[in-house]
Amino acid sequence: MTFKTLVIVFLLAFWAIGAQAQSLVKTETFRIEGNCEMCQDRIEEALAFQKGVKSARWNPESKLATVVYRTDKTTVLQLKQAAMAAGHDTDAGKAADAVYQALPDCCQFRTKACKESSSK
Amino acid sequence: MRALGLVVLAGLALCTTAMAQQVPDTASARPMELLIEEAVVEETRSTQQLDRLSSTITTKISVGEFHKGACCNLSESFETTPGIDALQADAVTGQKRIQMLGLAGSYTQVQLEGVPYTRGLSAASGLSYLPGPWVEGIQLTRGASSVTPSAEGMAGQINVELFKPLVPAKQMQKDGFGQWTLNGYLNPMGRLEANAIVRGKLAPRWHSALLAHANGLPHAMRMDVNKDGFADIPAGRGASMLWRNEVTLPKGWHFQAHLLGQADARFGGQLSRAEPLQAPNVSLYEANTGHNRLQVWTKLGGGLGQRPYKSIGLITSFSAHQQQATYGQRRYAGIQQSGYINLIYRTVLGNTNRIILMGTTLQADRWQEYLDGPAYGGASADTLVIKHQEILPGLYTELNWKLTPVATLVAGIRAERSDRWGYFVTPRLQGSYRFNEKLSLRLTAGRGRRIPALLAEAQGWLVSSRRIEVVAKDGRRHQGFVQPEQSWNMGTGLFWEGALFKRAATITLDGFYTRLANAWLPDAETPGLLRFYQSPRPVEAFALQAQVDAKPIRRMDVRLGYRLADTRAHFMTIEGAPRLLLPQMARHRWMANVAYAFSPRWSVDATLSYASTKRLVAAAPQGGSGASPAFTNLLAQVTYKPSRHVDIYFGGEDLLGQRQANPILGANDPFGPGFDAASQVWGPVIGRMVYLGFRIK
Repeated sequence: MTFKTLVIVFLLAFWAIGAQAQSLVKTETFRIEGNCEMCQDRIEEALAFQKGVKSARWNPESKLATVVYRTDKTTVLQLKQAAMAAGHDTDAGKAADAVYQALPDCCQFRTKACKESSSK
Repeated sequence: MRALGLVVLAGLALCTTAMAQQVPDTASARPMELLIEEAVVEETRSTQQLDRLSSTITTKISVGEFHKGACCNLSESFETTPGIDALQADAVTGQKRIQMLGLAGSYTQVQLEGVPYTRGLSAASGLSYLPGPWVEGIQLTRGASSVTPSAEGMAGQINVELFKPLVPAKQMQKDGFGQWTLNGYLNPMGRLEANAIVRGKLAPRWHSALLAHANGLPHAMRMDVNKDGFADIPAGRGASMLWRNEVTLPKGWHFQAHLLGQADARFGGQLSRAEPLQAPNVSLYEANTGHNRLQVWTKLGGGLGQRPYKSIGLITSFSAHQQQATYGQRRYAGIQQSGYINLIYRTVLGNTNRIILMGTTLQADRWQEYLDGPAYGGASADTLVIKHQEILPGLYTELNWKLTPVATLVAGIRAERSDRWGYFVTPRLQGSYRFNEKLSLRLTAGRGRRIPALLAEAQGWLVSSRRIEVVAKDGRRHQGFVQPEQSWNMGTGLFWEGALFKRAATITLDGFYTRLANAWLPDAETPGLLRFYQSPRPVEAFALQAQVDAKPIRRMDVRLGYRLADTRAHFMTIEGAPRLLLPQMARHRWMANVAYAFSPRWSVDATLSYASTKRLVAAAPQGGSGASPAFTNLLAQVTYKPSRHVDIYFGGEDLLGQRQANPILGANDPFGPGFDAASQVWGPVIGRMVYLGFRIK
């Protein structure tokens, strides 16, 4: 086998693997309760470190999370549970009271609205 | 060795007998600070911030700041802190020295959680042996600090908090720091570092943590990039271990016991010689250093009766320290034993607006330094011996008075009686006033006193053929004790905390003046001579600093800093004893640091710093003072977190590649009279360097 064919075989193999992985990647949008930039950091971090998550964004205005993830590694329910474990309510359930109450004041989304300047 | 054993035994005996009492949990010398630590629960993202609840000018530096430097020991961790300069001691031993407020690091008191750490022989180099990954945070006080531990903080105080055996559940959740952590670092120069921290519960009330560190650089990896025949960084190996124990006693009392051991050996010097050796039996120039330390300390503390404002704490510490060095034909050895006891009582006067601390300390020190070799006396091959021995009992009291909701005054006084130099009184005063929610002013002033370890603090200068003279104040050649150095320090700071770009931001502006009397100066202004003397005229240091911390966009932290340091002394070996800037000190330093997280997984951090020209001592007999070029340094790092518990970082130092080509004078003839590896060093010897590291929690 010449060097050239070897390279081509490798490239094809990577393409095939990539293509297979691509077919399992899904983008999902769902609502997570929260207030401010601090909430944004916490939610995005909670989602980003879930298995199979490629990218995670959460918009404080619309409260919508947009997650790109691999369907063979995780599910939307698991992602929502991750947000709940971090203290944020979703349509799949509410965060445990103890976790929610430990959030900083400006993230107490169940009672108060966030003030812009309090993103310490 | 026997002395060492005795110290350990004494320490352990104290641990067991003192079992009846307890210790503040954040392990600070001031029980008052304990309460403060607990009060601050708000999630803060800034890795450097003003300690709002104290009246001293104190910056709290958290663990995130140390990750920016990536390597390795504490003296290398201040690249992003404008208030502290880290300078190379010489071009051969690879040691770094810190400077604060324009004064050497030895004028700053270094504590481990309120317990004395680097003093005497280790005052200059001690931070180099404290592994950065052990550090949880630092309280950096510039100017007058509390009088409760001792009178030694002349320029300020660095209090290092290490990872603790017992962690509040909330903090553990925040840090993601579980039962163990591992850290490794590697660079292509061959430097390898590994750290491990394990913590757990040994019994229902007994929590324990083991902090371990090892580093190494094989002999075969020594490199000579600048082709002067000398290894750019020495080979060597080192290990440190700290065993921490915390026992929770009934009624809220705590007891802590710690055992710290450090051993380190470095092998530097010539790798080859360009010219053939003149005499067949002259070998290569070797510069080897060794350092060993053992320290035991305990803390016991708790409340008295039913009143929460009354508490008592007892700190005891014993250390044995030994270091030696070979610089060509010059040999140095130093040995030190120290003991320290501090008993603190805290109560209130009338109400909690007036907190009073009272206590007593006992500090006992003994050290000897030896220097021999033909290069020392010049003609005679005798040995220079410097001995110090002192027993220093002291009484102190400090009143923390909240005058109004916006004004606080802290007044402390300490009286000590040395068995050799008699009484010394140390007043310290700190005041803070809050104009409004955002703006506050602080004023600090105080006196200080310390005994320098002459040769240990001038180690870098010893890497030369300079003839060494030690001269007492009366002009006689001095073989015995040195006189204490005394200082007055004044400082003021203006602090603003508000919002910039709709996010939390801080601006700080401060200035300090320090006046040192009896300062022991290493004077290398005359080529071929290194003279130590007690300066008959005061050494004066001015320092100014401005720092802005802001978050212009989300996930981005920006810090801009500037500092001016102007320290002048009269150098007696120059005719007329002119008042000059200290050599090798940059008057101006600018710094910009940007940290940006692209996502929770990817982040970058870059620091650009500029140091102005430095005065260099005369390199040749007729030369006069020279000046170094200004120097710009760029550090950058990329961190990737594959999971919440793992960080992988890749970075580079001195990325602009500005490096000093010829840091060593007389490098081709190190046994000749013109050899000097210290006085002309102004910048990095190694140049551009990359590294790779990981952290697993």
